Amino acid sequence: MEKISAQKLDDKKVVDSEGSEVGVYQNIVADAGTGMLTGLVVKPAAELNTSGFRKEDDYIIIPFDAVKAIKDVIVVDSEKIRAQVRA
Amino acid sequence: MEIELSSLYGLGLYTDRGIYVGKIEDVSVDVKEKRISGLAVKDVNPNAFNVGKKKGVILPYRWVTAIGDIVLIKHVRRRALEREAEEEEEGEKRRK
Repeated sequence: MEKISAQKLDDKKVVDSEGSEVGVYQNIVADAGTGMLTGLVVKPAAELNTSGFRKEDDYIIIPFDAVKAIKDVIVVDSEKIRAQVRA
Repeated sequence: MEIELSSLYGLGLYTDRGIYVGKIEDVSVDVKEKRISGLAVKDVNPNAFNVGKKKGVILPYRWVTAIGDIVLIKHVRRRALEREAEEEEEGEKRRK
């Protein structure tokens, strides 16, 4: 079962591959033409250093490529996020 | 054009021939493929699509042709729509 309802993702916790909390799921950004998911909009946790992330208003946007798993929590690959920010 | 999934909720869905289909309630995403797989539609227009007693229907995202203030899908013959829904229903029965 790889298909999930986007509405059910609301308020899911986002953690990185090292186990630290990144924040709470807000939204997904997609390309309207192709339907490809491009980004994950996250409300950052208070203790998170957001300097390494793309920001929009109070939210951070994580490239969808860095999303490793979506189950009870959303797991993102911290290595990939850093690599993309540097690039 | 980039869209936020939550901005789709509640948008009206029409065919490119101007027939009202329903209202978007939810978006189904395929995590592995990293793409939108379908649109969950409620308040389905019975003249466009006979859903019987079901609450709604999930239409494949590949039918979508435009997203703006409303969403357009390819005009498909009613029978094609119903066939797809039947397949979905049969799949569900098999799972049970």
